[in-house]
Amino acid sequence: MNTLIKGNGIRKDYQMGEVVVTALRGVDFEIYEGEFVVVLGPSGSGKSTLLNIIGGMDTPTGGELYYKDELISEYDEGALTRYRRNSVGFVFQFYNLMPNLTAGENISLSVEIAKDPLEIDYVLEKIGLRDRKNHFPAQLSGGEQQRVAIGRAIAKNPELLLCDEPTGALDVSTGVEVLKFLKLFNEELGKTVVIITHNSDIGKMADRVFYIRDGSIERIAVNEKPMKPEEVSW
Amino acid sequence: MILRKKLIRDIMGHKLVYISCAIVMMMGLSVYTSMFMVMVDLKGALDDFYESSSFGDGFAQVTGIPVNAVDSLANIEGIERIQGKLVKDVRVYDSESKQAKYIRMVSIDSDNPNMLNKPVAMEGEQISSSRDGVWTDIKYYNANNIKSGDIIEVIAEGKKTRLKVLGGAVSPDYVYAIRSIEQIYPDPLLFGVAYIDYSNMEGLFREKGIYNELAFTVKEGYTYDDVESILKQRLKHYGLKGIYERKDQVSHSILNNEIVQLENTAKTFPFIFISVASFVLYMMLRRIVEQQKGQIGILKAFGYNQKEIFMHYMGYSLVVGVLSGIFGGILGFWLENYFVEMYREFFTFPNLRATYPIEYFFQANLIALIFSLFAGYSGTKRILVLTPAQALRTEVEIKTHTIFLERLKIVWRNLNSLSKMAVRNLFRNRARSLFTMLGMIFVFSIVATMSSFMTTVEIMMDEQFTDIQKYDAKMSFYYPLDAGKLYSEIINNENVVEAEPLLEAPVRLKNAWLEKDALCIGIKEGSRLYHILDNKGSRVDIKGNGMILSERLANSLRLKEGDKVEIESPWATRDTVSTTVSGVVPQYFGVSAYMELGALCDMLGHKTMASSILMNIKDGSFDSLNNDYIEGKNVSSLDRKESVIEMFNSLMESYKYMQWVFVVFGVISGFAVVYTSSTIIFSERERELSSLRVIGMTRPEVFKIIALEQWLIAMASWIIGIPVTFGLRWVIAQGMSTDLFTIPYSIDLRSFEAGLAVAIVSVIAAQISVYRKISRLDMVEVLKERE
Repeated sequence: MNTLIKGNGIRKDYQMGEVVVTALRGVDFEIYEGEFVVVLGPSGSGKSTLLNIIGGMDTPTGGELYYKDELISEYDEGALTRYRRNSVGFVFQFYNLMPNLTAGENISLSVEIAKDPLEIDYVLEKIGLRDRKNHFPAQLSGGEQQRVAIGRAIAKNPELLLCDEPTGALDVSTGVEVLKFLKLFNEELGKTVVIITHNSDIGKMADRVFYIRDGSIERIAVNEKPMKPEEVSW
Repeated sequence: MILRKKLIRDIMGHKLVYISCAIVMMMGLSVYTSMFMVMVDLKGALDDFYESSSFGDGFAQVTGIPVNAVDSLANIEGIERIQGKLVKDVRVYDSESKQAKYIRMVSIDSDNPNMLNKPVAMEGEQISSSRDGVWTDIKYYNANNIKSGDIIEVIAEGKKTRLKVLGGAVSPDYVYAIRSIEQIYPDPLLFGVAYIDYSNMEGLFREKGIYNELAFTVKEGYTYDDVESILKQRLKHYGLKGIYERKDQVSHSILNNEIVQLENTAKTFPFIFISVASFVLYMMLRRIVEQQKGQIGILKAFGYNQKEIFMHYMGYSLVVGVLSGIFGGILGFWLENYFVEMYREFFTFPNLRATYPIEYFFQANLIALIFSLFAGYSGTKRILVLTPAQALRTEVEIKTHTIFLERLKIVWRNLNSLSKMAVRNLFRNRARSLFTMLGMIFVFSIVATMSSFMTTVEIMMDEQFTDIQKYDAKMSFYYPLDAGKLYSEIINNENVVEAEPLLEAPVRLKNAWLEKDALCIGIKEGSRLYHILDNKGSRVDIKGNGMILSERLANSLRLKEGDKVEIESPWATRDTVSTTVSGVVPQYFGVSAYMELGALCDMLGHKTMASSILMNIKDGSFDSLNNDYIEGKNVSSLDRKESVIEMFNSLMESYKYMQWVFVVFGVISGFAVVYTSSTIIFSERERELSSLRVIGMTRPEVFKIIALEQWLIAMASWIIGIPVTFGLRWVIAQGMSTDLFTIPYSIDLRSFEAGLAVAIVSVIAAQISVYRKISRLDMVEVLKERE
């Protein structure tokens, strides 16, 4: 398998007033193309920081990060923007939809800037919200909003989909629905999906699980037989 | 495309703020464009007219100069053309008019194609086509419904004379036609100019073959100053009364003052409004960007670059800038038309019209764009530089330091929790509180200033006509006459209760190299009909040989009480005389000096003379008095004070609407500032306010937090607004005072009350909207969302 993301000694320090807080203490990892990875760890372990750095939303204080063979840790703001624009899709715990754009328009938002986007109607079909296209986020349930957020992320047709606690604000059955869509994207379109969560049950459907604690990757577990999303429960 | 939709929906969500902001900016821009456009119209019309009518560079008044002596003056080095004319004020015999009407007869040389100050016919026959009649000035012609061929009767040299009107005309020296400076505003119904061929005019008066006014132009390469002294010398033998350059010519100087004031207003006033609007925009955008920090993070996370996001947020201010620029410009065109019409009421040009110079429309749009984009840029730049991760991170920015009021334990302890919240918020967001306060200061002081200005003008008139001019009527003569004889003649008239002689002598006052032309008014000691007041409004006795100066005169000559002042006068028998300044007093209309009548006449080297008689007359006897003297050959005018007051009052009425315009401008600006600030406070504290509602507080209780904060700011702004108003009034008093009027520097309590009332109305209007928002607050929804 080809390596999509490679991190060497990734370190991230935050200056909080006079105190320096270290969120990542030099982590090494690889994520392969088409892989479904779950990053597990308790709150404050550094998993969101890792996701932000992988997604080009933040820059590491030290270490090297590669996307394919590109050293993205050295990218300037413009190059990072292009990287996010063309290669990465994000899904957040609190959906972060534009409140004054409809479901369809929220998806259009990423379609408009992508190089090779998917059809909006195709995406709406896939996430099962075709009839909700003209609804504003406030008119949708939490699960539906998260599906729109996923739709918005996958509509760009990115190589890498990064999800920060995508089921965190949802009940179990809605959460499972959301996981199904993520798996669908991973399997049908062959795209890489990275989920960060503190819910260890979600790890059961991953190809590999990164256990992270205190800013370090403790271990990486490989699932020989990943569960189907509908088999996962918590 | 999608971001544009977001932009439109965001704007629609806060439309009131954007609309009020655009309106405030639009108001400023419309004033800017209209005033500059009117200025272009006025200047253009003026230059064209002066050029085509050969307006003189200098003017002189003499007792009489033989017609054939004028040509020899043309030999003076530097003089290009010099021409004479006969100018005489006559009374109009109009049995239907209850008020005295006057005509200034001005001789013309219709055969001379190079005539200076050449009148242009606007109605009726062309000027050169006939000599058998007169052309009245077009305003008089229209105001009195005169038609070509009508006859007007005038009393010249005590004889009733019929004059055929050939048409209506205008000349550059009477663009602003007033009989004397004291008249202030033109009244075309009662005063007009009549242009008449010299040969016809000569026949109406006893003087034959002489001129009493001269106009001249100066050759290229020379200035007025180059020719003034020699001309003065040569004219002395002809009884020189005054010589002045174009800038001091009454009509021109009033017009020029108006243009200068227009320019000053156009350069300053609109920018106050534009700045307020930009501030509001800045505040609003800053808040929007802060509020949409998460959304910006998402856009960044999805790969929107800095420029795209920046352009999106600049779009908010761009909308305001473009809309206010376009509508402000259009409104400017409309106002230009309106102002031009207004100026046509006062000034007469053959070609004054709205020309709609388009460049000011574009300038207005450019100004709107620059200001709004600058506001937008300042409001957005801080957040846009954040990385997406920083933008998405919830910023917990709670300022926890105590405020100074908390150290005043007694005060602090007595405040309830809601008041404490309001007070703390006020001090914790100092920048916004300060801005809101600035906006409120602006509203308060602009209304108070304008109101006080209007009141001051009324007070000026009131003081002038009630406390200074204590007489009912004033009779003026063509020449100074023996005061004693005049008095005995007038006092014996059955209609006259009381009479006093008055002399208005033209003088040039000098102090070292400083000099100034003015009228010196000679009043009898202990005068009952003309009072001189000091700056406290108390009467100043005039006695001895000293001269009392108006403040403006004293300041421009740098003279004070006790100083020596040198005097030149065409009426004096000696070249230069001098006296001591015995006092300095305020004077609102004109610039005058005052002396005791006898002392003034002594100084001039004459026995006691009078150029006017002031009278108190029996009630309702003016018409009878008018009939008695209308044909008096020495009488140039008989004025009733009441008619001047009536005219002024009707003029003030038409100005009242200006006050209302300012009130409306004030309320809208005030509303924009307070509403924006309240909206921001509301959106920032939506969760906090919802929580309060959840724990059981009523809507009015929750509203009180925001309201209290706003009222505290409002009260502070009113206190600070008082000295600001004084400052603005001082600027107006300095900027608008001319030799014609001196605007006193004082503010009455009522003006502050007006400012306060407008400010209160704007605060209340804005708070009503906030209360509605609180009523609609969906506490469950708000609290469900992530902070």
